[in-house]
Amino acid sequence: VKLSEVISEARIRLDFKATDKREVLRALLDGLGGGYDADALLAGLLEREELGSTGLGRGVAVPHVRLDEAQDLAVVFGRPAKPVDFGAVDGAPCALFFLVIGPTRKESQEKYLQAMAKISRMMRDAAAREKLLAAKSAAEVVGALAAKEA
Amino acid sequence: MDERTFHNILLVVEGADGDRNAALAAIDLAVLHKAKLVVLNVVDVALINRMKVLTAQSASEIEIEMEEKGWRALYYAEETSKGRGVPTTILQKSGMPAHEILNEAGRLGIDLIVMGYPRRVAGQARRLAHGHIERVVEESACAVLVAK
Repeated sequence: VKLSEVISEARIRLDFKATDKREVLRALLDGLGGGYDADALLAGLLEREELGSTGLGRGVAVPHVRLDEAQDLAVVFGRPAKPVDFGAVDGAPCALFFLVIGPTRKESQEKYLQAMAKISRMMRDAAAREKLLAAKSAAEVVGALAAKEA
Repeated sequence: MDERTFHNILLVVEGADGDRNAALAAIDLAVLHKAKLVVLNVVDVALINRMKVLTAQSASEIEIEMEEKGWRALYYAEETSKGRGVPTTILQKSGMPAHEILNEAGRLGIDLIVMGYPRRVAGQARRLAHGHIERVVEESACAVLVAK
């Protein structure tokens, strides 16, 4: 899974206004595009968050869910104007979000797990996080991800 | 009075064949006791150094592979446990597995550690894994379940 290919510029949301978990997820879902029931997705994501935050620490969160109607893996990158409390394991507010949507088909599971594993592993690197925090455009975000994957 | 035996369960996953039975046991117990589940993967630094000697890969390449394998195992367990309504947190650490497991168990107020028993790994990796299990069983302040 190449994140720089899965995350197109159209699926990058920068400097959006959000003050809580619901607003962050809503903004990320706006970046997903058509073909999804955003209200049902939001409800599903919030329900999962209730069972444990997807905030991994170091200012990064990877909210994720699998859906029957998803045809393929979809990832939206988002960076709110100000970091948001997402209930992360380290208690720090989150500034970098990767929304991962995957199909429920069993054969798609590995790709879905791989994408989240790759994001989580890459975001342990402080330099990679800094580049995403400093990116001024969607193109710079894709460039930063591609450079990290090279 | 709260009569549950377990409130906080720590499930250790390695991305190995022992994970499945450990996850099933931990999740069943978490459901039964209405407990919270913490899923932990430790990237074994000693194993990285040993594998570096045995393969043509660099330490950083091996580390990347092990980290991603660990995250896949963490997310797989999280999917399964949240699917059954269990409050779940996932964590990855680097270091010596037994030390990190015992450390996290103390820090998080864990009252049961669940670990898998790897069958299909061989050689040094198997000896290392069994060594970690033995040390956790010996030194843990709480109950330990090794699932075969």
